[in-house]
Amino acid sequence: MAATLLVLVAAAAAAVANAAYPSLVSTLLPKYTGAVAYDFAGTSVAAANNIVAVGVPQSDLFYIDVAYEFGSYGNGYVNLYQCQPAALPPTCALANTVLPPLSTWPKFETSAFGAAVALSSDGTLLAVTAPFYEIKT
Amino acid sequence: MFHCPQPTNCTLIRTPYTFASTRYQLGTSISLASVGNAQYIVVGVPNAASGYGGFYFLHCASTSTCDEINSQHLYVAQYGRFLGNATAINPTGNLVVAGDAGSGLSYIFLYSCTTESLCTSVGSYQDPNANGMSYTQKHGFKKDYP
Repeated sequence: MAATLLVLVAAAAAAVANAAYPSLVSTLLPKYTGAVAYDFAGTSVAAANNIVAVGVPQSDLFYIDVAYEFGSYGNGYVNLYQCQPAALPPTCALANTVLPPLSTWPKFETSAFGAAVALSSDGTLLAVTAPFYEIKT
Repeated sequence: MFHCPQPTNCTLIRTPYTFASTRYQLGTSISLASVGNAQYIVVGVPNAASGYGGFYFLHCASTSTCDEINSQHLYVAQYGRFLGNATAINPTGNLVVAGDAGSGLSYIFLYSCTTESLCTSVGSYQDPNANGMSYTQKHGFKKDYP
């Protein structure tokens, strides 16, 4: 499943590259951070008023019964990009990386910060989810 | 929820809202409508394993927390369906669209939700190619399946 998702992300990045968005592509490429840890860049996206939010839930691989499941131990982040759609070609630059508020965040096992993102129409409000998936052992 | 007057400057303005359920895939989808100083949020809670699913409808007033004002859950228990896998809300915060994917049974449901009344279904759409049968069941695999 991980390989499939990474391939999908890579394919999406390639499609964007063909549309001449080089600065965005360079920051959206998935990062391989370890043997069982992945950043799922592009799992969720939102756009409003020249702001693009990209959720990057981080997932680890757990072996459960006879199958593998993904969880993240509360990790993940949201990248905010500021875009100039009127430029030729249009460009987007990474403006901020929003991390989970760990001081108040109930850091459930397997919750994945950034699994879904939403922006208000003016782009100034960002809502983020960290879905919990129960692991049965 | 974060307030980002500039994309480089985000501050947490709403404390995390925690749902009691542990089995549903809470927060698989989220949509936001900002109306004045309040926000309306719809959070999809599909449960692909059981065929259950639904969404929560939250109202966030000027205080730091959000309140659940409504919700909709379908207990169809139909394998492969999971209401809430995708959600959307209109800018005024009173119309919710929720996807309900499934193996040959995919739906889109349209709900009307207000702070005064329960969410009610006001329309739905089903893929005409998925009315209870898989594509291959209807058309045959070798002949028509691309």
